[in-house]
Order: sequence, then C-alpha cells, then structure tokens
Amino acid sequence: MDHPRVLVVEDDKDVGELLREALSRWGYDVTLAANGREAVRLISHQIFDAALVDIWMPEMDGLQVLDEVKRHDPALEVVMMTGNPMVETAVQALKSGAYDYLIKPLNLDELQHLMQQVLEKRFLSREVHSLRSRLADHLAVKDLVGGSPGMTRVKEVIATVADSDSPVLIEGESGTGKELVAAAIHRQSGRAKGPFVPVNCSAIPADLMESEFFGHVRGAFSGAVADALGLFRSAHGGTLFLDEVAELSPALQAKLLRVLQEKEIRPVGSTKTHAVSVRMIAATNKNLETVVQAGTFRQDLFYRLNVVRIVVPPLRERKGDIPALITYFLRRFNERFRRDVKGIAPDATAALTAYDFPGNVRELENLLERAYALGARDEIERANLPELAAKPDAPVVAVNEPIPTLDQAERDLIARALARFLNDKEQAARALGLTVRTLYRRIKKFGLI
Amino acid sequence: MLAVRRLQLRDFKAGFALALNLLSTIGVSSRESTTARWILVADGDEASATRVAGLLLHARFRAYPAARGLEALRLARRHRLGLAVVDVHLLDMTGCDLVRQLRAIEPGLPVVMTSGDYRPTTEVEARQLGIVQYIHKPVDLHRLELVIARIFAADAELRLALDAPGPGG
Repeated sequence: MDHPRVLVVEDDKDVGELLREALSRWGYDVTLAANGREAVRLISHQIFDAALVDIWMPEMDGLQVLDEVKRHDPALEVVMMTGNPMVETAVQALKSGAYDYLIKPLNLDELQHLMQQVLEKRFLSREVHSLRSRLADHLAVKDLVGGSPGMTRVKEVIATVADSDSPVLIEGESGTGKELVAAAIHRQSGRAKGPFVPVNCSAIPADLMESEFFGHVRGAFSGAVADALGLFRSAHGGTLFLDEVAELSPALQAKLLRVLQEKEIRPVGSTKTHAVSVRMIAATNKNLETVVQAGTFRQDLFYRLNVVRIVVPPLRERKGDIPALITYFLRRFNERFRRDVKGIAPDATAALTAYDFPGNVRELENLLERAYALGARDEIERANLPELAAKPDAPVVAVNEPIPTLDQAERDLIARALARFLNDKEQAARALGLTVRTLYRRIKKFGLI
Repeated sequence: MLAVRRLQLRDFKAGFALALNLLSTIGVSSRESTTARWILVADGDEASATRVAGLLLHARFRAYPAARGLEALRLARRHRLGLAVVDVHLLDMTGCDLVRQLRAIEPGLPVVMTSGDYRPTTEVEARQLGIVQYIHKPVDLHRLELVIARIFAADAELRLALDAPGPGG
C-alpha cells in the first residue's frame, strides 16, 4: 500500500527536518523543498496528496507557492504554516484555496489531526456536505412520522392540548424530535399566526440569561446601545420553546417562575413592566424530577411547567415506525439529491430494525443520508450502511427513577387529567375514578387553581 | 492606509486581552489535541467582519470573515462550523436566509445574530431562528467572549487550538 505523499515547503532547515521526522513517523512519505522555486519544480512532475507550506519565505513566498500549486493541481490540499498570524495573510491564503493554516510554534497533535483530516475524511465529508447544501433545505423535517402506539399517543396528546394555553413539558432522549412536537403544538394552537421562538437554554451563558430572556433598555449596561426585546417579548402572541430547560441558571428559574405567575416581564435596566402573552413549552432529555430531587431545578417551577407532560418514546421502543420513517426520508432525499432510490433491500431493513438507535430518529436520518452520499442508486443496500452493532454503552433509561411521594403523584395525576380534559372537572373525575366532589377537594388541597 | 494600520494595532491589543481572558475563562490545559471547529463571521460590512474575525484569530480560534452569504456557505461546506456570528445584513442575502442554509449543512449550529438595525421586528424575525444571542452593533466583545466560552467549553471535542499561549502571552 502506498504511503500518502506530503510535500513540505519550509526554508528553515531545523523546522523542515522536524516535520519530516514527525510525518514519517505517522506513515507519510515526505519530500522536503527548501524554497518556493524548488517546490514548484517538484509539483510539476510528481503527484502529492497534500502540501505543508510556510508562508514567510524569501524570494517566493508561501502564497505564491499556493497559487502555483492550485494552478497545477486544484485538488491538492495545502496547509499553510505561519509564525505571524496576520489576519489578512491567513484570510488571503484561505481565499486562494488553502485548506487550513497552522500557527507556529506547531503543535504536533494538531498537525497530526489535521493531516488525517486532509487525507482521510475529506472526500466523504465533502461529498456529504456539498450534497446537503446544494439547496437551502426547504425540506427540513416538519412532520411527526409513524403510526406506532407510542407516536399515536403523542399525536393525540398534541391535538388535545394544542388549543389550551397551558404549559407543556416534553421529555425524550436526544434525537427523538422534541422540537418537532413543540412546533406541532404551536401550529395547531390558536397562536399559530404568532411567532414560534425556540431557544436552547444550555447555549446561553448564565451571565447573559436575564437580558436574553427579558431584554434590556438602552444604557442598561456598557454594550446596550439600543432597547432589545429579549426572548419573551419576541415571542409575544406566540410560543416560547425552552429546550434543555434543566440548564437554566437558578437565578433565572426564579425569574421564570414569576413570569409564569404574573405574565409580565421587566427588561434589564427598566423600571417599567410589560405584559406578555406567551405560551411556554419546555423540553429536556433528562428526567426533570430527578433534577428537582438533586436540588438543581426548582420544584415550584417544575410544577408550573409540568401541567401537561408529553414523553416522546425513543426509536427502539417504536421500531414499528422504522419502515414509515425510511419511506419518508427516501422521499425527501430523492428530492434533495435528485436521485430515484426506490426502496431498501430486505437485509438492510433487517439490519436497521435490529439496531438500537441510541441517536434515535436523527441517527436513522444520518445513516440514510450517508447511504446517498456513498452512492446508493436503485435501492439502499446493506453495503451502503455501516456496521450497526448494538452499542453496549447506549444511553440507559433512568433505572433509578425517583419515586414521588403519594401527594406529589396525586397532584401530578390530577393536574394532568385536568389539562387533558381542558379543565372539565366531570370528565377528569371520571377518568381518575373520583367523584366530582372529591376532585374539587383535592384541587383545593393542592392549590391547582 | 495609515488609518487601516492604526485600526489593526488597536484591535490586536484588544485581541490579546480577549485571548488571555478566554484562556482563563475556559481553563484549557495546554497541549490538548484539537479538532477545532471554525467560527464564521458574516457581515455585509466587510471591515466589521474582518475586525471581529481578526480578534478571534488572535485568540487562536479559526475564524473566517465573509461579506457574502455564498462565501460563508462555501466555508461551511469545507469545514465543520462550531459557531456562526451572522449580521442580519449581508451583501447577497439576508442573515436569516444564510442561517437557514447553514443549518441545512450543520444542524443545530449555534448562531449569534448581530444587527445595526434596532427595529424590534428585525429582532423578532431573528429570534425565530433559535439563536444564542442577539447583539446590537457595535458588537460588544465581552458578550461574544462569554458566548464563545460557553459554547466551546461545553464540548470537550471543541476545546480549541488554545494549546499554546496567544501572541504576546
């Protein structure tokens, strides 16, 4: 087997030798050029797989070498090295087609990683990326696909709760489509014409949460050059979707609770409050009750958010939906990649059905997309799919789910029944097996409005 | 020409401070191997994009300025993005359109929107994309720094090329 061939263009002999040694140790076949002219001569009659080029060299500098290389062989990947990271030079190098640049002193781990990236992963990933982005994706997943009992149940709950204005808590592993559930609720609700504002709570720095959520007035802090609405007022008349709600800072949890109670917010630096009409949908891939017990999430906020709970089942618990999902994705990918894949071979279906999908629907989508990138034509074959071993380290569903106290459980059940029957006490009582009078007493006892 | 030089010098100084701050905020240990993702800085005002990208570059992030959406998309097709700082106004498309197209390539990409347009409707439109931060221009570097520290520290894989001291540090 041939070793990948790397051309190193470096005028400093010591650095050149160091690179030769390191690269040879990693299994590359290294050719050294001490200056630009020599490099150009070498590439004109030899084929290399990658080039490492120093930017600062006397006579012919690295950028000129880069131009020559690209003129000669546009597919040859060039990594630039520079001891002086001037923005303009780096950007110019990238615009002229360099793959990346490294700043001296070189970090060998970084170099090794980069070389692997250049030589191994590049072709597949580039293919996937270019296919993916050929069109703006108008075909983003919008539908909840599947008729399994688990999904049917989810859709029923969505239809029931959409039009009430009560908060919803969505639980499910990552990749199960929690945002799709939230968006579906929004679309089927009376707020469909209003904005749907999603926010990933884990990505917002704790220090900035308050102004992100509640906005700020001009001059509230040094960077506040104008009034900003913040998330709540941006979602006014619509739905605010708090993904990864367990990641909210304790300070913000307290403030959020107040907003839920009083339905008004006060921007940072303002003395005025603003009424907001926002429906809250929260989601988490954790068991929020456990987080409450661990003391990092407020119990009172949990109760406020958890009026209706929707648990989106993981794909391994609704394998009956896999064929429908495959059909759905094939239709989308055929359109996007302009192919005509008609179906999937039986052994490929079998492999997919036997698999556990720790990454859930998103993982299935990625597997099929990869099959397209690898050139699936008439049908997806087993060979288009990677090894699908059930992973022993697949996420374990919380085995030691905490046991709520009877009171908690009772309160929870009653709240859910009320939400489910849109506050119709008679229906709720019937479903719970209570008399209406008993139900009223419990409602009072638990303060459920 | 002279004005340009002076601007760079000042920015580089700010860049050192940013680099040092980031190093201490993230607390990255040295010599950590990296699979650094890129930070895209897209802004129809090219000077502004270059300025912000320059500061990030000096903090040893891989940052790339683009004034056009198409150029930003070219970068996204070539490299994994870890963060996009996108202005609502680009030369060839709106920032919101660019974000939608970037997300088709990199689903779940964290996005910071910047805007020199202080109208509330602009903010409402941007926020419906699910963004991490909405910043009025001029960009408050302290905010950006906090966002970067949060995003890039959250994921060990994303721990950056911060394995050597920044220039001057």
